[in-house]
Amino acid sequence: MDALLQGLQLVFNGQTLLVILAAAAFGIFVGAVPGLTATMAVALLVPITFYMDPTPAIAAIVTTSAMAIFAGDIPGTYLNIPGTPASAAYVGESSLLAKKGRARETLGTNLVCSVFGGLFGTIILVFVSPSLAEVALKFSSYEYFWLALLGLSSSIFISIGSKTKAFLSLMIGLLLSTVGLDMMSGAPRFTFGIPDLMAGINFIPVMIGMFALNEIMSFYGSRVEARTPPALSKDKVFGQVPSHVKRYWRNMLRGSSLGTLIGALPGAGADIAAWIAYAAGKSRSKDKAAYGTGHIEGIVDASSANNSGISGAWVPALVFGIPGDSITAIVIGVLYMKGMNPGPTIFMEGSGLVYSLFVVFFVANLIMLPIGYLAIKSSKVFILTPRKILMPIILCFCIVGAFSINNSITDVWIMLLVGIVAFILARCDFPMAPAILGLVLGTTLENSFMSSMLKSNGDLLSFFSRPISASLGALVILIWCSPLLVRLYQRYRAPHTNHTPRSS
Amino acid sequence: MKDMILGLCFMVAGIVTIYVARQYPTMPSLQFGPSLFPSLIGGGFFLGGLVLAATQFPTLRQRASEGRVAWRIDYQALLIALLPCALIVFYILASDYLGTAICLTAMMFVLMLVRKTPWLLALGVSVAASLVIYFVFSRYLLIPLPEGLLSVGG
Amino acid sequence: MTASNKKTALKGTAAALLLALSGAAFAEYPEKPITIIVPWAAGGGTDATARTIASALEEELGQTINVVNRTGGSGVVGHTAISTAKPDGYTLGLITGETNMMHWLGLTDLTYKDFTPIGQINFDYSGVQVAEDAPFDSLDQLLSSIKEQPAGTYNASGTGLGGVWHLAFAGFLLDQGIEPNKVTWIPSQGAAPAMTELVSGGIDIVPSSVPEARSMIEAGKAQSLGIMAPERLDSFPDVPTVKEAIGSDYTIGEWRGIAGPKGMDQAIVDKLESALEAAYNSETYQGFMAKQGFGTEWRNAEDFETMMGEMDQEYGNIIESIGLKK
Repeated sequence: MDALLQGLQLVFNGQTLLVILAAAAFGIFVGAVPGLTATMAVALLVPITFYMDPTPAIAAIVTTSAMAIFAGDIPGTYLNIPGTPASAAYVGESSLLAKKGRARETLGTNLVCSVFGGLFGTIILVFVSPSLAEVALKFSSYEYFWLALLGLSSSIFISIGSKTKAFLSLMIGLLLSTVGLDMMSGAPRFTFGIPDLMAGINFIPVMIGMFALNEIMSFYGSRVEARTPPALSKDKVFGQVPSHVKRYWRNMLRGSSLGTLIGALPGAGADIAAWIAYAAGKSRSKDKAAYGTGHIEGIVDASSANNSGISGAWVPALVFGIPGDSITAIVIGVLYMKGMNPGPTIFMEGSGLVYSLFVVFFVANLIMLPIGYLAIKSSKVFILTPRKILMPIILCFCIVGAFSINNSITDVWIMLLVGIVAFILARCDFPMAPAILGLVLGTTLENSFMSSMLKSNGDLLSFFSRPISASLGALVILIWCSPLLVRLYQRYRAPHTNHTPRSS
Repeated sequence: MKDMILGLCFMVAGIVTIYVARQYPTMPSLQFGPSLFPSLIGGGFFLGGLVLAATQFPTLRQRASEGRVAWRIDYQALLIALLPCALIVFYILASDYLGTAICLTAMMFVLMLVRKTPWLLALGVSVAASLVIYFVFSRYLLIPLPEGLLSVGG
Repeated sequence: MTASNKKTALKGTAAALLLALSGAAFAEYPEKPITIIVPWAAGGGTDATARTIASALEEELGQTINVVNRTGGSGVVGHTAISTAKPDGYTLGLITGETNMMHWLGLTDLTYKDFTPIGQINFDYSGVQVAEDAPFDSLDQLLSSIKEQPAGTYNASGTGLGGVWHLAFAGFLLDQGIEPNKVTWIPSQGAAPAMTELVSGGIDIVPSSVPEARSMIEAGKAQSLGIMAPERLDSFPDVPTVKEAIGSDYTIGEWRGIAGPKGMDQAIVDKLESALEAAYNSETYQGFMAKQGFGTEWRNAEDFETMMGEMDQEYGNIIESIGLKK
């Protein structure tokens, strides 16, 4: 109780509240401008949070990501261009609704669903993570090895598109994570005699290169800029919301629980949560035919799911130090820098920091309502902000941000090289999330493997010698075999029914 | 075709990685050490690249028989896409001498002109933005950004 | 005036000018902001210590002090940056015990002789932490178990290979006449992950400083069997010293102090030394360290240098005996 009061105190003071407001405005802006993603917003924010106290720093990240995910719906509705990838699943529905003159009604429903999803995910985070942490206290290097492997495997199996490309993307991330002094032996690896590389590759310049520089390059590589100003509708924002909520409250609950769960899976974030919730909503709906023609029901599921995914991703991040999506991958680094080491011990410190984090989640999701309302009312500003002026400014932020992490020009080089590689790979449809996860989890994977081997004198069977470890191991092997099992199942069913083979 | 080349690149990268990793020492008590993971990753590169290249082979042959192997790249667009990178290199090389504020202004100005922003607006925005960025980071966040030519005044 | 005369005159003027300039510098030092380089990451214990002493020092000197983190390479990057800065008193650094280890481990050529010591501000002694449900309740029992069982039965963790707690514990075993390699050292990212491993049963001993184990001890999941310090800690009055537990005089730990590059002017060093001592005694610094549970210990420039010399020898011997010397 004492810690809770302390936590409240940490949030409800002038500085933190001011930071939350500023972050909310920043998040809305970045989310609403097409081509700038929530992950990129957070990556650019980190160098600034670096110099804040822990609570405002975390508050800034939480608020920005939640706002950006909602604001991605704004250009999606008016322009049929998703502001962030998390809005892509239902951009068709919402833009068709806008054409019918129901743009504000759509966004109002989006907003309420987002707030609901965010709060739902937060409640799960608050109640599940402390008890999960009790379990996590029993985890040793054997369990962490399987956990890391589980996260990396699911990042491949859940990815959309070619699995080979996802695998190669993961390998790039893993390779980057091996750079620097090896913790186990102290041997320098891939440092090429550059002293700055001894500490390894910092993930912030990598993130900035991968998400921001890559985006800038593709902007200059393409030739589209001209946008027709949308016809802004004048309907009421919240007028129809109560009736929608009354009719589709089941969809909101289903979308939120799916979103939280998928968010909590390592490697799958808000965008995948939205796709899956949209599909689930469609298959369960009474009027499937209305989907794809501008149907509000399709928005409810997915819009709740992407915001609850943001909160859900924090569960494994806080409890195990294993990120649920690319945003929490950044967050884990920030937590370490702030002396809040993610892991079960974070719940044992009496400093109230964890409680302040929970409070921040509630505050951020609640102020989304008024700020989101203002944003809907002033949509035109965001949509018409010319990218030809914005992109050069973002480039400058990239350079200064990458430099400021260690005050070293080496990080600017890293940002540049990673950006170029990411640009090439993204053009060939390689997913980026596995690479980030590989970079973040690579050291955990290797160090937990090596220290387990040191402890057991090289006995590989020791990975199955503890009960939790053995079941986690079995789970990983099951996931690896799942494509084979699915194929066997289809072959078994094929003679009986005339099913067409699954197209993936 | 693109995937085919990338696949081959990954295979080469895999071989290089394994070669470099072989020089790392092993742990005293185990048969393996810091070389294990890089070697596995190198192997992963090689196999993944092989699969990527091999799956492209049938389509490539089909296209070859139809005489459509040549594929076109918009070179001009590619060059412009590389412009931000060139400007970053410019910053890395020139910032110590010119200072961060001047470098950033010049970079933004060039980039805005490339996209046909009216030059007066471009100049105004780049000067204002670079000054804001410079002062926020160097004065408020205390990042030692190079001052360069402007150091006399500061 | 002949050419050679002219030259001499010029030289003389230049020398006089230089003297005047440097004289002015003494009189007014510090006349511009001072930078303190920290070789460890922002947000960690060392960083917090540096920022607190900097704000106390700021009040003493009446000048802005900027704390800059230069992390990397187990502290090599930051320590190198401190030693290669201009020795004008405007770039100082917070140097740590790693100064006495890195060169033995072959990571760098840098030694404590490349710095101008100003004052030591902190010393954290090594403790011996085991899990609450461990089969030993005293240091004595732990040591006899280690002696009896075959090598590799027990393992310990808390820093990387050749890190401060590794060496402290190896030195402790040597002092007790036990072969250090009887306990396997499992390298870790730091004391916090090692404590988690300790509680989950993955490892047996964490010889970190006691404050680093605080949250686990307070949660009743771990216990500290002893501390390698001359007297008990104020923040942990129940933890006995090794002298009380087994009658050994062995003390070891991690120190932190303020230093500049080699070749600083004596007048500036004197001014900084007295300002630092006042900052060390300030309420800001003492209050913060007490709250964190970090140990405070003051040594002036001269004693600081002597201490570094002694520690350097001691760590050198330990590193050699565990076969990590390069």
